[in-house]
Amino acid sequence: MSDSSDIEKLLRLKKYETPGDEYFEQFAQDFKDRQRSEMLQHSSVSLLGERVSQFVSEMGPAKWALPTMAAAAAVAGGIFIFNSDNTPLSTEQPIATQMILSPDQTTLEGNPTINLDLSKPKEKIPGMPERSDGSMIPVGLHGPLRQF
Amino acid sequence: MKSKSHPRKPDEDLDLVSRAREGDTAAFDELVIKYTPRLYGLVYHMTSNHEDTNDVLQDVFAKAYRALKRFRGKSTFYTWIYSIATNMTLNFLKKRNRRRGLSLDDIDNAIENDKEFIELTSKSDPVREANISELQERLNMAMQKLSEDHRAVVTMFDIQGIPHAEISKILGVSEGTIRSRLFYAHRQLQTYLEDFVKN
Repeated sequence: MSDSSDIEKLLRLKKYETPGDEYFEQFAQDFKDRQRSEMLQHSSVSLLGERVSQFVSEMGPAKWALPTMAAAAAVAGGIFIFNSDNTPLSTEQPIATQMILSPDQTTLEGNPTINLDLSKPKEKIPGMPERSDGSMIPVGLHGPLRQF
Repeated sequence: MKSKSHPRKPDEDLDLVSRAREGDTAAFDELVIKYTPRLYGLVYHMTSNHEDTNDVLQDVFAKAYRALKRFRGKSTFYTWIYSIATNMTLNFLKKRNRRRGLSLDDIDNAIENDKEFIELTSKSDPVREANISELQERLNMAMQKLSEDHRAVVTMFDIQGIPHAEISKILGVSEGTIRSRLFYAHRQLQTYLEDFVKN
């Protein structure tokens, strides 16, 4: 026996390797049990996820607005969080910053390095409280500079 | 031999598939019962291990059930589920880092009445002298020496009798590639079984 057809005949005999009908009945039952148990375990979270994705897929062209809306909501949330953390500086800081910039530098454009003039003010600001060493007391919400 | 385009037969599973897609689990159970023996053969002859076959097959049907909503009917359900089973088995074999021992199924007694078995045992001494389980073991060892791609083609064509055109659809390769793989695989098997099959 040497030709390829004999190999093919031998291979065809492999179809007789089979576990029998009982195995197949048990397999079907095992699969049914597994499938039902997986269905029961399907969490409400994944169900919600599926429904959301289905809702989105059925929205049609309007679904493209969703990323923009999500981005806008994220920016709004970020601003809200930032403001709630920095409320005391929100109104006074720009004025105070302008005051301590050197006279020829009233804008930050074109110059990423900020040269702050931290020396004592040349002239006394009317109504500005001073310490004993002549330095100004930091400005607060209720300070006298509120009028500016 | 050139491939001919035949008008496609209507999918005999269409009704069961439609019902299963609408959530009728009993309809899917019927598909499981119908296709388990054939898919078992495919996976088993590629892995030569009963336990692995059982595990892979459970996963195949679970995946098919989950993917049923994406089944568009471009092929028959039979071709579709065969593709899933073949791909999952090939992936499983790539991940199986060490060769598990063979865990062979019993041979159906019907083999003794098989015309080809009688013919082979009557003309070849080694086959006649070997008992059936030895024959089975030798064949499986030789099969395991083939590459996974060659084994898949031999399993589908030689053992399961699936035509070239159908195998080509299942594997997503041309019929020429199927024929070439078969030719190469047969030549290799002849070498592996040389002492067993020579006159």
